[in-house]
Amino acid sequence: MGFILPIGYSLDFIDTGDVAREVVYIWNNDSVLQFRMSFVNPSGGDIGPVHFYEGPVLLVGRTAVLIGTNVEPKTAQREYDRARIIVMDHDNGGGDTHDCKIGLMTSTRPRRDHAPCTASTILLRAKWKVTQPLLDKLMVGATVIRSLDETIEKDFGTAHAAIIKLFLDNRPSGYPVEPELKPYVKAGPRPERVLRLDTERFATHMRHILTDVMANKALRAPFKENWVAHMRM
Amino acid sequence: MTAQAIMRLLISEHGVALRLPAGDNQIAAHIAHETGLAQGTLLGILNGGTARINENTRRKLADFFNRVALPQIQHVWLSSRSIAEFNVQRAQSSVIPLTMPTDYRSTAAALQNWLCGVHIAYRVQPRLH
Repeated sequence: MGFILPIGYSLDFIDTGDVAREVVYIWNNDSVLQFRMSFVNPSGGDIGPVHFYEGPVLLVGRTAVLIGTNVEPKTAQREYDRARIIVMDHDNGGGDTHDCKIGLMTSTRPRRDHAPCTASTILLRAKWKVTQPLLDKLMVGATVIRSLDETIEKDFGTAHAAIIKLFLDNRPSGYPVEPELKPYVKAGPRPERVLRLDTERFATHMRHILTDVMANKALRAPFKENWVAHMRM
Repeated sequence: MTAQAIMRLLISEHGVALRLPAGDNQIAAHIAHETGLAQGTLLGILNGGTARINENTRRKLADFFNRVALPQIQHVWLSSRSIAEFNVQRAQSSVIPLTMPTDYRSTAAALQNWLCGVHIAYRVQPRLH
C-alpha cells in the first residue's frame, strides 16, 4: 500500500489582496515528526476562532511533506472537515534555510468555486523561547488574515516589501509584474505555464532580510522576541 | 490462517520498505535475523500452521513492522480473528497506514534541528468571490 500525493498548479488569476499568517509547530514525537498548524476561516469578512491542522511530517528523499487534517464538529461557520499539505525541499538541513523556508501549500477547498490549487508559502522560525503557554497564545494571537500591504509593512517593513511580495506571488514566471517587483525578476524567453519556486532566490535574499528585520526595533513580528511583550499587553 | 493472512498483509504493505527478500524461506530467515525470533516460528505463521501468535512473537513482529509502519501497529491487533477485524482495529485508531522510507527515523533525527520548532507561515489568501 502506498500513498499518492497529487499536486496541481493553478493557472487561474490569484487575488493578492490578503495574506494569511499562521503558526506551525513541529516536534519529534518518539522518532516521528508531527506538526500542528493554526488557521482561521474567513467568512464574509469576519475572522472566526482559530482552528488547527495536525498530522505527520513525511520525509521522502529531499522532500518534507506536512500532511494535516482538521476534523471537528460542524458549525455554521465551519461546514467541512479539511486537509492541508505543505511540500518543501528539506535542503539536507542546510544552514541557509534553518530560519527561513519556502514551500508549496495545496488548496484545502478544490471545489467548483475555482479556489487556487497551490500557494507559495514562507516559514520563518520564531527566534525566541516559546513555552507551551506562550505557544497557545501565539497561535491564537498571531493567526490572522489581513491585507498583504499591512502584513508586510508591520512584519517586514517597507524596505523589503517588494521581494517579500515576490516570494508570496503565485503567478508563473514571465507574467507581467508590478514595477516594484521587476528588479528581482529574471525574464525568460517566454512566460511559464506553471508555478515554480525559486528556492535559490529565496535562500539568497531571505537570510539578509531576516537579519535586517530582527535588528529593526520598530518592527514587531511573531517571529521576533518583542512579540512576547505584545502578547502580554 | 488469520495469523498467516495478517502477516502476508503486512509484508505486502511494508515488505519493500523493509527490504524483505522474495520467498517465504528467505523472508522468514530475514525477519528471524532482525527480530531474534525462530525461523521455524515465522515459517509456521507464513505457511498457515500457526492459528494464534503468542504475545512475545506479536511484540517482536510489531516492533519489526513499526520500523516503517504508520500508524504504529499495536501487537494486540496481530491476534485479530480476521483480516476484517485487524483492519477495523487499525481504522479505529483514527489513522491510516502509510509506508515510510526505511531511513525515516535517521532522516528525522538528522533534520530535527532544522525542522522542529515554531514557525510563522505566510501565504496569499484568496478572497472569496
